[in-house]
Amino acid sequence: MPKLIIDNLEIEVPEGTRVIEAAEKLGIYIPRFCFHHALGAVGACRVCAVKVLEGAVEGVQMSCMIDAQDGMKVSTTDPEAADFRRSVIEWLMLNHPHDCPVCDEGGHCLLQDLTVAGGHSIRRYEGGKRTYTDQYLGPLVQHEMNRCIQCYRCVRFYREYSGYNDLGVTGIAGRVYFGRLREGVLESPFAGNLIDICPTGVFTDKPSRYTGRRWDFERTPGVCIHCSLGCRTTVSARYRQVGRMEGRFSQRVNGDFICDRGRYGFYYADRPGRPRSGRISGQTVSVDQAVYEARDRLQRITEEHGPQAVGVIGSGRSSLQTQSAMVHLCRTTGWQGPVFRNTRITGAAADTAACALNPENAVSMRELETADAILAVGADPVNEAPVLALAMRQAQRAGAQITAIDPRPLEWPFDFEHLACRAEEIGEALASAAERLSDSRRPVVICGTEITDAGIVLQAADLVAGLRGSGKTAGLFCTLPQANSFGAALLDECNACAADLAARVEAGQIRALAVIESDLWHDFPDRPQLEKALEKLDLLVSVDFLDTPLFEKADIGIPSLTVFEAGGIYVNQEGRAQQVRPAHTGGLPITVTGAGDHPPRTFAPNVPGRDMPAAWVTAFCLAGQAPPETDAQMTAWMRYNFAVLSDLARMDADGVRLFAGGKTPIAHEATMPEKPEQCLELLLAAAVFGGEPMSDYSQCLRELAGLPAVWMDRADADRHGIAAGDRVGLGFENGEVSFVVRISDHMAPGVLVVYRHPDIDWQPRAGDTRYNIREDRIRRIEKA
Amino acid sequence: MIRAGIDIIASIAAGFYTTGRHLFVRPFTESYPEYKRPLPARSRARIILTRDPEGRERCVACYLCSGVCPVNCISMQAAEDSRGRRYAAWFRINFGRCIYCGLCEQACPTSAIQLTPDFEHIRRDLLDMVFEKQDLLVDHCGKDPDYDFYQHAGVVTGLAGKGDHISENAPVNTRTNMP
Amino acid sequence: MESRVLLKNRKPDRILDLAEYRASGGYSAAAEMLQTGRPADVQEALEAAGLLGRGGAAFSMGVKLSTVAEYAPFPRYMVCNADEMEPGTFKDRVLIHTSPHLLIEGMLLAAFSARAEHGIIFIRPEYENAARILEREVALAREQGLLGKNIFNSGFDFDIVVHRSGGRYICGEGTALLNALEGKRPNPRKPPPYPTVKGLWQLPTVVQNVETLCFVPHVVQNGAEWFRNLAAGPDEAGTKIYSVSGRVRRPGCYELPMGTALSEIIETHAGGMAGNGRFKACLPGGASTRYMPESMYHREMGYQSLSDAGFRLGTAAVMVFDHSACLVGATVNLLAFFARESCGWCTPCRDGLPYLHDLLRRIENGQGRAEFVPMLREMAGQMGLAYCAFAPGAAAPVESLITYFEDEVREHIKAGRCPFREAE
Repeated sequence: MPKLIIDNLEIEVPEGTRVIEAAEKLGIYIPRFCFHHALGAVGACRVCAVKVLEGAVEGVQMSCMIDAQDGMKVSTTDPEAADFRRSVIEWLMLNHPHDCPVCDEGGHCLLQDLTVAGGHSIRRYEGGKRTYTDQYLGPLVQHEMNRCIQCYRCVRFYREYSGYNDLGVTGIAGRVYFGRLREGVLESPFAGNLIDICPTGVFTDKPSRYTGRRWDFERTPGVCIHCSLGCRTTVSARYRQVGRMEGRFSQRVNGDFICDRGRYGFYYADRPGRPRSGRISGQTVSVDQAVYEARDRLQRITEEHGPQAVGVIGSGRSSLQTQSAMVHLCRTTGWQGPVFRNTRITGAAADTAACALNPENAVSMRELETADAILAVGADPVNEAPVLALAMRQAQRAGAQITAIDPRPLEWPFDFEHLACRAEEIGEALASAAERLSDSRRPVVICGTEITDAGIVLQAADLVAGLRGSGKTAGLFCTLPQANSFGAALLDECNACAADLAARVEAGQIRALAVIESDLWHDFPDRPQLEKALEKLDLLVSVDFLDTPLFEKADIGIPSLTVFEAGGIYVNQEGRAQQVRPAHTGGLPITVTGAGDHPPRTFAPNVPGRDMPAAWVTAFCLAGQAPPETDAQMTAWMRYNFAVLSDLARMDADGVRLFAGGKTPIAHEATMPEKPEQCLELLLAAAVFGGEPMSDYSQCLRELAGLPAVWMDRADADRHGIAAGDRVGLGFENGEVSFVVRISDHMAPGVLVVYRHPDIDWQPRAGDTRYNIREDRIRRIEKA
Repeated sequence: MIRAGIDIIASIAAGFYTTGRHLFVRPFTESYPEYKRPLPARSRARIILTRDPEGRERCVACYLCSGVCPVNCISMQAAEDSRGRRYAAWFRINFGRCIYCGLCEQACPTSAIQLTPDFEHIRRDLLDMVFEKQDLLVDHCGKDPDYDFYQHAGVVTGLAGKGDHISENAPVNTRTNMP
Repeated sequence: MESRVLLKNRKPDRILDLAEYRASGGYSAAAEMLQTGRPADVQEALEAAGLLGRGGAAFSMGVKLSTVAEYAPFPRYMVCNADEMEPGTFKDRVLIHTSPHLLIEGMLLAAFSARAEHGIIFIRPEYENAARILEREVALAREQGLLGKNIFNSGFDFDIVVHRSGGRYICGEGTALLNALEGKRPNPRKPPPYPTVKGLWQLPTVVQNVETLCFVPHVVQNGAEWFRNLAAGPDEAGTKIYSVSGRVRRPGCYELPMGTALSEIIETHAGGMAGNGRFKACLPGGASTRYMPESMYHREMGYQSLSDAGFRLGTAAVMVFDHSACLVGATVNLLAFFARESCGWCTPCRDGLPYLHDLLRRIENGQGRAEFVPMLREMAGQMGLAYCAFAPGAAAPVESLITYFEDEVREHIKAGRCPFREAE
């Protein structure tokens, strides 16, 4: 390991460490613009200049471009290097507009910081500043090109790292321009990261424009809960609401970047329509009243009809605290559940995936970046778990071979081989594709759980076990439906799903349901069945922080706290439990109490709206018990009462990996039904924008969801005489729903794919995420 | 002993003499509020938000004054009008907290917030001492008769287009590589 | 026009066609080498001959070829840099219009040495006539079996493609040229790895200037000793085409022994200074070199000789200024060119060169101030820390202006106008 001296301080660093990184380890911050540890060093900005006093090449060098060598002696304070750095900053500032007071980057602007650090305060250049016209780049990213210092970070991230090509650099010399060829919405679902990496204010956060300065925000480390990856974020809150979200570095999970869904999906938390008070039969009451009423009525039903007459439904959206409190609730009261899954097949797949992971085969996303072969089975990362696509791209850039087995028209930002086959053929395809991994040393099998079944998950797990048996460092990576689906799988004790409980309601066994933070209405495939079941209930209690249709319909509605107010522990798809701290202390945002204007002119000892309980507190109350008083006590309680959570004691900055330890997943024999003749199989698939219930509330993301569309294979479309852009009606049992048609040459024939969309409202027949449309029920409504 | 007595009487007499002399000296006490002494323009008292020479609000709600305020008496919310001009949607100063240090005036990059010699804004009720933007905004330029920040900034706010601000060249034509 | 080797047999109004070229001995060196020689023979001959790159960098061609490793991957590329955009340089165009087959044979031999089967002539788009000539002559050579598969039945395959550049100065930089050929932005690359190890599409690539390649058949034919003896002194080798321009009576291309004195070039060959001009300064090797003042008037114009004196021969494009020329104005013009042609990658070049230009322009227009001089000196010196050699080249006229002609600069500032222009 080379040992070198920087500014008279000695340090030993791993081989290949750059001098600029070695200096960081010593606490010496060398100015930089174009260097970014995720994007690499390119030596464009020239501001990281240091003087190498002794070494292979001596003199002023760029510290990001030279590796630390044994015996090297470097000075960052040498006058020649310092003068050069000062000159570079002066040159960068020749053209910089006088924008700081009205620029959102002010306060966290690298250019500001380094200009001041360089001792500059006056522009002595007498020439004019070069200017540019800006482009509309979509609802998420604001473009202000005058401020550009040409560090090239944006195009290096956008094109090289994330693999999209619509943003680039044009022009020459001092006129280089970073933008699209024609203005328009940026295609990459990772475009928001441009805001984080741009060292000046060229790319700024558009939805949170002008909301506040960095020094006014309460910034808290957080974890994104919009998919199962659990990427780390930094939440900025002010005046009791969340202002904006940024990516936060995670060594194990997401590296530096997050996707736009996670970045802009937080607007559900402070909307005016969010439940903030209790409801009893449509009447607004205090939260306490609603809780006591719910507890009393549930107790009465229990006494009258027995504990099996009450069912509890949860979901993977809730924190581990809420899920464990719900399990405790059912243990204490004897109520049925809690069930965390809506449907049999995908529920079984997700549970099986969680139980199949063990300390040997589980890989983190960052470990996946070092794989040399990846086989993705029934997974669509760009839509289901976007940052996984980034990780796969980095693996591919390093030479990994990537193969995908999936019926959907996959559009991934890297080279891969797509074996398109129907969902029920995935198992066969997997068996024959396994030999592609035989030459690799570090293969990873990615298994999705949205369109697969438990059998495929087990097959993938067996494949990994086999590869490991033959001496390879093989890993299994499963994507799960929701942020805390893994936690749900760990804690599930009742081996049932919401569909089972709905059936029991219909059968008259269950008379009351307590639904806690569940997207039952949004996800349940058979809406008529659900509606009938809900009608039959004597009592429906809903606890949620979203005003879902279920919450509106409930007899008793109890508001709960969001992750920003309550925090919580969320377990991501590899079993990593990560602690989220509350971002603000909750209560009505100022924009509400001040009627959207500004903070009211009153003194008051209590913050309005702060008396809402976290969902787990309500769960304890429904059981008639006092909840643990502090977060620390709650975590201790969880560890004490659930053996599978005892490892939480070892949680550190990277979280802690939990494992199911041989637990049997629910209904693992559930498999997909056979497809009848003369039918096309319709798959309802995740979409990056518009498919996830919480982020659907964000107006800026809604804009990106496009129109509801159905994807058809070209042969099928030709057979029906349908062209791209036509509007078709697909006939279900209970009626027809219309879509715009898109045609793909890279999907399985005999399959129709619809990506989830907030405007799709339909009543399909029984099934799961797959339905069958009869060929004669496909009707062209109008031509393109 | 007699000497001591004479000393005592002499010193008492001297004191009375001084006092008596001053009985007939004209007092220079200025009786406020009948007479209000004009203070120098730099005196630091009530804060105002000024306008630029064209009569537009100068404040761009950059949060610098609230950031530098040592007692956190300033709060505001930035907003953008339809032409892209950033301004303060609301602006509040709690004069009960303000210590009239003038750091906000120093920090302001647009010469918007200024301290004036007017100290007669004091009230009995604390809430009456919380001034909103309409109480702070004046119709003149204050101590700076010239400065218009948006003529210098590069952002387009309806005053001028890209390249038309002070020290700017015309926008680059990105559709050509000709010089 | 003086001619020794490359410009011998030059026809004033047409090229030396293939038949004439072969009749005067052309392609015989290639035939012999391909049929009976080894690739190393070419490389050794060139190294012994001391043939330095004539494109400006003056790197030994033989040494460059030796860096193509025996076991390096295939296919390999032989690229001829015909971009010639250095202001003041026009020798490559003259060479192509003189004897295109000399260039083709040179490429063939160089490719043989590197075992490259793909040849590319990267030519600036303004040289449309030269490009057409080359395309035509390459096709003729191919017809006669001088290019293509199994040339001279030796088993060696080589063919040439003529590629017209998109048209900017920076494409003439060797590694930027490779990026341009790959369809990327022509930003230079930072070696290591060097192009001969990882060049075009990460494969071994040899890039050479037109003039350098034109010497190769002659060196192979006549030997290293012969080549060395052509020079004017023992430290130099071969001949050099000096593209003389500026205030001389007969500007043009003069092929002279390497190391001919500047005074001889101007007086004996280029007809002396024009009009009543007295020599003031010259740029010895194109715009990106330092002004040589009067004290260097008798200096030998060879790579080693100039380098010893702290100057650079570059492309040997000698631009002569007389006593009536305003060097400040000349430098303003040069900087305008360089600032415009910067590729835009690194800060000193992209943002610093316009600054230098602006300061000089103000000085020339009478708006200069005394504090500009140390600013120019400091910033011109800092250009050496840019990403590639473009910026320090662009700064060379500025630095030498301040070093040798500071009085002239200060006179501009004091007088408040350019003393060389008529008073307004």
